[in-house]
Amino acid sequence: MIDWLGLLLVLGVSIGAALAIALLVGLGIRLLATPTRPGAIGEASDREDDEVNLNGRPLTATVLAWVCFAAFGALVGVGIWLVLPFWR
Amino acid sequence: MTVDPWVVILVVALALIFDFTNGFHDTANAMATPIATRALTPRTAVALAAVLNLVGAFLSTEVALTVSHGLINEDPGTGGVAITPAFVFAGVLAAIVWNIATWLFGLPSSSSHALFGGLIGAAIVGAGVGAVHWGTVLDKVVIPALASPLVAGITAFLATRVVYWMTRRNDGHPNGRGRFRIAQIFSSSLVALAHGTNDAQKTMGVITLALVSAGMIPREEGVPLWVIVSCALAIAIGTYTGGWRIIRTLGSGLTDVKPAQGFAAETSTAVTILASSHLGFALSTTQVASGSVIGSGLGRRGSTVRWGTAGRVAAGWVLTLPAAALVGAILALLALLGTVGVVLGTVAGALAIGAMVLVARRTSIGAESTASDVSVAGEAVAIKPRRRARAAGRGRRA
Repeated sequence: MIDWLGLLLVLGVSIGAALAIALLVGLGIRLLATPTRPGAIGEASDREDDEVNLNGRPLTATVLAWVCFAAFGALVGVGIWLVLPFWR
Repeated sequence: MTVDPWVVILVVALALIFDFTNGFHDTANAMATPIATRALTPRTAVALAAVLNLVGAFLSTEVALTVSHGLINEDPGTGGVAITPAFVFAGVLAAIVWNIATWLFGLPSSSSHALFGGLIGAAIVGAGVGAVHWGTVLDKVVIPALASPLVAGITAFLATRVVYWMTRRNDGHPNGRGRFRIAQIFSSSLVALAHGTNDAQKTMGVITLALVSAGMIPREEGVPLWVIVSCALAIAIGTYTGGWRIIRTLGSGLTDVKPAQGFAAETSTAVTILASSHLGFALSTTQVASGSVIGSGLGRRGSTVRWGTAGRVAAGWVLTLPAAALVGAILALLALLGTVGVVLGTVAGALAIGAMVLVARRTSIGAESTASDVSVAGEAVAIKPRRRARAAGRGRRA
């Protein structure tokens, strides 16, 4: 007998997981493309309390981007955990 | 029942050749889009896939000792077919012949379906139509074949839309979404690892079952170490060989793949395979990968899906089971003659494979023809402007 519920579950989980990963990586890449703040370039290396990184991108954007990439890495780790039977 | 040991040796050799063809046939599932978007160079991509397949083959010991996975009644007492080395010979050789044929036409088809088809054909010759569990064929082959591209296609379509919407700020930049290449490598690697853990087990099961049926090892002994090692090596070498024809079809034949799109497609392939294998509705990796590429092509604005190529691929899927069954049936008929028939079948199979390889050599397709034209401007590793200028200067001097 065909397991239609199983098929719908696979569809739902696949869409949910793929969209979560797409959002994370997309957000990370979008944050890395945050435009330079006016006057940011050139001041970054002069002031210790500067919140602008050397590319002129706000430091918060860089940190958040790497948080997104780390979360993506964690999801890849979950995938490896699912692939390898002896870890479960 | 006495079994000619040469037939068992032949079956083991054929099973390893099948494993090899499985590897080079399915390299495309994981690595077609990273090659097309130049996230990885072709040789690096197939080397990475080969290593992950090799590692994956050692990581799982869940080998099923039912050669047909429930598609065939393997109990002669209830009208089923006796699993003999000659029966396995017919099924496996038929699967190899079909894998080579689909490779010749650059069609990404399921190696599992080819194997099942070959075994079904042999079973029908051995014990009649009643030896096949047709309901299970519908559940495990036909419905998943229809569902795989749909599930993966819908997933990839939505994922592609999301990544392009999230990065719409990068519209108009020549290589604005190039960073997706790096993420794509991770998704692809996951697909390759999953492939190694799943597909090498099939061949291990076939070889072990042939040895058990010949009385060479007891059933309770499990899979011998030499079988695990040889199957892992066969699938890894096959993967490294690279089925460039199929990689080209999947990477640039169905649609022109850009980095963000390739990332969405590969991610959809990975999550769909993992979700399906863990939620009890197994889908074909090849069909999932093809569906993902088509879905991502539909999801990116301005992209076109080549429906003619998609139709050829779908035709290959439809034909896989019956065509392999037909070849399997012919080989099983020959095997009924005994060792002489097995030898005749082997010679016929070798001639057919040799002829197809000769035809393929006339229209040779190598690694260089697998990258998508639209992404040629992109580079796998960003070169800093100063280094680029220096390199250009060196080029001019040379």
